[in-house]
Amino acid sequence: MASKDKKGIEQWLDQQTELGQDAKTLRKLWEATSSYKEDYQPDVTNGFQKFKARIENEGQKNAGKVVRLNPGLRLMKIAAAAVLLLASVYVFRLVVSEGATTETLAAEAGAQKALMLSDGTSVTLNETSMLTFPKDFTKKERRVELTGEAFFEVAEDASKPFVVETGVAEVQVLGTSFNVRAYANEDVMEVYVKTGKVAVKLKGSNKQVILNKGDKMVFEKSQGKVVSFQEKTDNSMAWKSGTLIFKEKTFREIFTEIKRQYGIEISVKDEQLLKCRYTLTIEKDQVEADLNSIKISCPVQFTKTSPTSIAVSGTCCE
Amino acid sequence: MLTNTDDQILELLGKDSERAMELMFKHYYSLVCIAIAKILPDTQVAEDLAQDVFFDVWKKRDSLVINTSLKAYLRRAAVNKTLNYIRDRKIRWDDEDKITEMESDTVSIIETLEGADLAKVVEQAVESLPERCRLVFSLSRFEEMTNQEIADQLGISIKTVENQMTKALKVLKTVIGPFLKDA
Repeated sequence: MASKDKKGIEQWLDQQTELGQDAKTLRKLWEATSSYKEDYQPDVTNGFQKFKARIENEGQKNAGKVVRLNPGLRLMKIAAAAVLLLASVYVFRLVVSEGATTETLAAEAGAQKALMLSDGTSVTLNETSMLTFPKDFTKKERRVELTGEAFFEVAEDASKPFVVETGVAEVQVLGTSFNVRAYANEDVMEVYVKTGKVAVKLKGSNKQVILNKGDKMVFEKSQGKVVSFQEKTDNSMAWKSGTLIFKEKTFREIFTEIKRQYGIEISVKDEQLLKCRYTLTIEKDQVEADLNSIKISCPVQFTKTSPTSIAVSGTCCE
Repeated sequence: MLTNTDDQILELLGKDSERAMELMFKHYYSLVCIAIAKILPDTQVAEDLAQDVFFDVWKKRDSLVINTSLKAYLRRAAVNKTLNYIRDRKIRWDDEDKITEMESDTVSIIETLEGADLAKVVEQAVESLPERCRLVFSLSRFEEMTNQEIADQLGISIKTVENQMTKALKVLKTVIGPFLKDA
């Protein structure tokens, strides 16, 4: 390692001194710049989630719905297809859709999908959700349409605002990453901002809500109003991270959230349990086991009755 | 038997490729991101490109032949991916003369950082260089490429590389100089 470094710096010095630079100062510059970006710590967990979703998508390629939209690459692919006369569905789709201006990506029940838009924005789509987006962002705004839930990491481009349109509101991005939950069959629409800043404009009103990092907005459609927007620790990202965290929450709240995030219904024998408070963490792939960890402190029993339901007996407080 | 992580990962790749990719990703993702970010400081882009690097490995998992270490392979792949990205983006090489005005700007920006540590100053200084100037410097300093290699990779003349390098060094010396011991 040390000898390689030495070779590195010597080679570098030779190159630059030839250009009339002073070796002593260069040496110092070399040392000083060693630290550059070394303290940058990317989010490995988040990155891996994204990667996993991507390779899972690849596994379901026959669905033919995931399209990576990198303009340069696409042209190359089309050219290659013309030459090789490849007739795969994927290429076919790209060629025939050349005239069309939008693409739609759908994630079926139980599946999540990740894709990158032509501007470099990455989107992770939760199950039973759909995203419609232009193949190329040629307009003044980068506008996409969402039904369901998705997490966006928007590529910065100050000259072209990124707008997510849902049934009831428009979310305009002033920053980088955020989650939108807007299922048509749910009364609430939620926006959670992980980093940066977004503006939510409710349709049919002039009201605009600015959300900062860590903020969450819940819009209740039936009431036609924003019911809350401020929640610093939050389970909004649980569908993506696979982990729900509860601190001193009642079991009523805990079970509701498990149903909402993981689609697992929990039926209770002793209603008393719903009022008890507890602090726990629940991983998506081991809901039953995590719930049963409560047994250490209370006489309860959680039993899986089907892949999407768990029955519980016993209670945890007086 | 003595095995290292690389051997384990590569052996697993043939048996349980998803698990192998998970190990590889968790072990090397940071390294790949950092390597890219040194050339392209936008960490968002760096992370996207890093994703692509691992995705390429995944696609090639059945036929992957690695002659060097896995680490060296991924690093090389990361740099190639980044250079391709730069080429595709066609960075404009036409702001030749802006550097003189920029120089004084940089110095004043950095002056407000008084008391900041050296690492911070270096970061600011490198990232305040115009894009192509920074690019040439980064490839030279961090990828240890020769001026000729840089010229070949970026499709520009060696003279342009040398000019850019000279400018980069001049700015960096001006900005970082005062923070260096007995400079």
